[in-house]
Amino acid sequence: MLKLTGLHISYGKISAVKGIDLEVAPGEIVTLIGSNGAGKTSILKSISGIIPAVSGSILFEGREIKNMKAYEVTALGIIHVPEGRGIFPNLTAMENLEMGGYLKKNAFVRDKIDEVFQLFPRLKERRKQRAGTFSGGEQQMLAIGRGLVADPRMMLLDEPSLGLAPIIVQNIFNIIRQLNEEKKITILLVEQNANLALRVSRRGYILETGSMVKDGLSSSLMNDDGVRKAYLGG
Amino acid sequence: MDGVIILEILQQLANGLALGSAYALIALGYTMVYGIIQLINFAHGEFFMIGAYAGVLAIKAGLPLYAAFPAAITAGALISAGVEKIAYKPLRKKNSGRLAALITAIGISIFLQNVIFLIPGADLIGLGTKNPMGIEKYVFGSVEISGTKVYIFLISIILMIIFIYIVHFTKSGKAMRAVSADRDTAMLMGIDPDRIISFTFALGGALAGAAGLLFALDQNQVSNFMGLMPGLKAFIAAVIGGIGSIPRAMAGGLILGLMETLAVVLGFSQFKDAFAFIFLIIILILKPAGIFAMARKEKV
Ligand SMILES: Nc1ncnc2c1ncn2[C@@H]1O[C@H](COP(=O)(O)OP(=O)(O)OP(=O)(O)O)[C@@H](O)[C@H]1O
Ligand SMILES: [Mg+2]
Repeated sequence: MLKLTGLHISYGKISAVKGIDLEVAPGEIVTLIGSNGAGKTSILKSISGIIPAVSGSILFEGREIKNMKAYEVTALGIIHVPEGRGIFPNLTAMENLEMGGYLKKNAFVRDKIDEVFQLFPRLKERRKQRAGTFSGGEQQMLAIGRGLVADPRMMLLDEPSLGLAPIIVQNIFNIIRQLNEEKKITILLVEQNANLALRVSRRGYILETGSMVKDGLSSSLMNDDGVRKAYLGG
Repeated sequence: MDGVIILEILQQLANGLALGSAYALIALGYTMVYGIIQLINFAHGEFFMIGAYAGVLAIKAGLPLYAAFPAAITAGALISAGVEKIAYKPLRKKNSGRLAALITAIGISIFLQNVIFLIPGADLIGLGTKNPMGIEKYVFGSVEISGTKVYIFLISIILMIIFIYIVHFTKSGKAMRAVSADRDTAMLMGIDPDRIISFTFALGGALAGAAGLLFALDQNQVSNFMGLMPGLKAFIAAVIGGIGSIPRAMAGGLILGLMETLAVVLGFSQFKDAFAFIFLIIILILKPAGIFAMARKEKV
């Protein structure tokens, strides 16, 4: 479904991602693991078109999307839920959800928002509140919910567990699995919480300072000595 | 209290509110544009002037007032969105930085002040007896309250209500607030920021154009430099409110209008312009983020 080949990203003269390959098949959850500054966010941003890739290719369903604008990529059904949630703090929760459906018809958006409220009842209670007043967990629910309103075929999730209490993290991961199984959304999940990410995903990639060092089935990565030492606490 | 004094106060209040609400209309454009692209658009006063010309020429051509307003609003919106497209957007695409944009804005301002001379006799066009608002006065004994002032205030309030409706309840208005908050994330929603920025300029220009016509009706004339002072004053209004915030820009406009009127009442009418600038300097020294500034900064 998504295929990155020889992807190279740089900020000025500093190269952040040095020619990586990555593939996600339809229906999969694939996780991309790496420590701070490895280049995970840069990869997601270049897929969604927020930053340009220097070279390489990004194919989505066989189509080159490397040079597309972010809003064109969204229209294809790839929804990027950014690191740090990226909710609009000055908009209410409801307005945030409506923005998620910016490209869709009003009636469709209303139905989708109802679905999101079923998934996250908490958002329904607080729909009229400014999103800036939400807790971290609520903001993450809102960010995922907002992505769902766009009716994605593929979601790029950037560290959804960041800064959240373990119980909330568990909840978010359950939702991710549910979205994949029930709504058939293909997911590329970026995480530092390798333990949970490998358990929820089918396959994983390990990124270190801009290069892919390992990839494979999540079950085998979990048992890999190097991966255990570096990302799973031994 | 003496009835005459009360009426005198009422009259000055009407003057202050009329002036202030017109400033508020202009200030909204400054603050919205700043909120979305962090540019102090010094050409904004000229959108006001061009709106005034369009409205006045429409009236001189024999069109009724209810047609002159759409003319002023359309002219303001078109010139504003046009300037954005021709001058600011290319700079933005090249990441030229704020200073280049600011200097461009000043250049556009001077250009528009002069290009208007392509209209014959454009340095000063009077409305004379054609002014549809000129004559009405409400007379209470020895005090007259100008009907024009009351109309200016009422029309400004109506325009602001429409504007707030657009910003809060339409899809484009919501997208505008989203782009102001976080342009990259807005793109992830499928929003094309360039279109929303054009929309923002058009909206700001529309309000400035309407304010221009209101001013022209009050002064009974237009001139090519008429945007200069109101433009600066509205900029001050936006800054004293804390630039980037819509309600505060409106409040800033009203406060400035009332202050200026107070200066006139107190007998300093020659200094009324200086008053606004002194006020700005005091605010910038005491509360650099605006009079209503709170701990957390918010936009639009
Ligand atoms: N806007 C930028 N300008 C310059 N350098 C940047 C920029 N954004 C990221 N970088 C650099 O690119 C590299 C990769 O950053 P990136 O944000 O992609 O890492 P990450 O894996 O997402 O890290 P984290 O886990 O901390 O989110 C880092 O060295 C970072 O300093
Ligand atoms: Mg990151």
